[in-house]
Amino acid sequence: EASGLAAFLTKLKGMESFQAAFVQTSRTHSGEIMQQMAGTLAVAKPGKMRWQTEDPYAQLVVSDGELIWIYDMDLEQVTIRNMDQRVQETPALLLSGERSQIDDSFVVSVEGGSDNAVFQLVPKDPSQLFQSLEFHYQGDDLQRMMIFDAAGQITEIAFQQPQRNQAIDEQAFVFDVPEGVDVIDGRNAF
Amino acid sequence: CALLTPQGGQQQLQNQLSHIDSWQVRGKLSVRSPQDSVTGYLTWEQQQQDYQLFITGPFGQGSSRLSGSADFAELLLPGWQSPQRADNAEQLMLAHMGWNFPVSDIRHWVKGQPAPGQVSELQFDDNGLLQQLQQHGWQVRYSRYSRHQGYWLPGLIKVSGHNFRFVFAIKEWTING
Repeated sequence: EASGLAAFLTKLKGMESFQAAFVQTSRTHSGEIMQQMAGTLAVAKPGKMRWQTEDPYAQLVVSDGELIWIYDMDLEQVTIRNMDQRVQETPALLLSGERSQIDDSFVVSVEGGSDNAVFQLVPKDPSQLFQSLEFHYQGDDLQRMMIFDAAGQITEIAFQQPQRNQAIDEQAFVFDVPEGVDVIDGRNAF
Repeated sequence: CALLTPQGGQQQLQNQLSHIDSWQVRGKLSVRSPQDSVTGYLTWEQQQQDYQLFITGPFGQGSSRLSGSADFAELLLPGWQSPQRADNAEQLMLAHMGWNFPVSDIRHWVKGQPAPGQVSELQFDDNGLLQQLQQHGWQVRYSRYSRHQGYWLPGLIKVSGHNFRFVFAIKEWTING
């Protein structure tokens, strides 16, 4: 057990920053594709993230390590949230998270050799939105994330051209609210 | 040319919409309630009286399923082992999600048409497409109309009332007849 956590933390430790394009595919338990979308992800410690999906499901999520802005162009809406509430809704945040965040909330196990490790994270708190997460590595490169939720739906986030520890312009993690959109300030309420 | 703007005026366009009773929409739903604000992806299949809605979280997780027909409804929320049943969807959504979600009205509103029953206000744009309506204590505003399989259908629908606000951003319309 401890070896899974230790090995996973080592992988994360070797990743000060991570950038990749991705294709996210959500399937029902019977394998039927519910949604598919393409996007880009940039992650940097501590807790910084930029997650952008393209049309037809355009959405931009920016975290500066404290606050998260969720800008939905289709809905003409920006929601602002505290970062700690969002980890369960934003699994990718774990990539830039701290050791305690992972150790406190997940039981981590590992399968496969050092060159094709698959880490499974099962939430300690069963009310989480998902039943388990998987992080699939090829060597030290993160290849895909899998999200398994209680309704049997499986979401695969397959990364393409992953880049580790490259410099990322700080502006990527800054968000300015565009003109004319509805702003929902969810910092304290929930 | 005729294809680019709606033809036939308000009455004819509304009559056309009444022919559609089997359809599917895919897109996004934002729900703002007094306690919370959530956004997710929505797939809504309607087959005459039967319906099935999937609402999934922004990162593909936490999917909820609401299904039913004229006289029963079933809800399965994330984390539940089995669904809950009731006579109608509105009861279930209020009891288990805290949402005042008028499913049987939205089924008509989503097409750009009032639901059956009393309508307190209807506003059409100069193409004859529904721009705004007031019904059953709800205000519904329409925009981003586009043509799908010969029908003019809305792409953005904002429903507000009873301290709730639902925004439907529809990316895919499929008309089955």
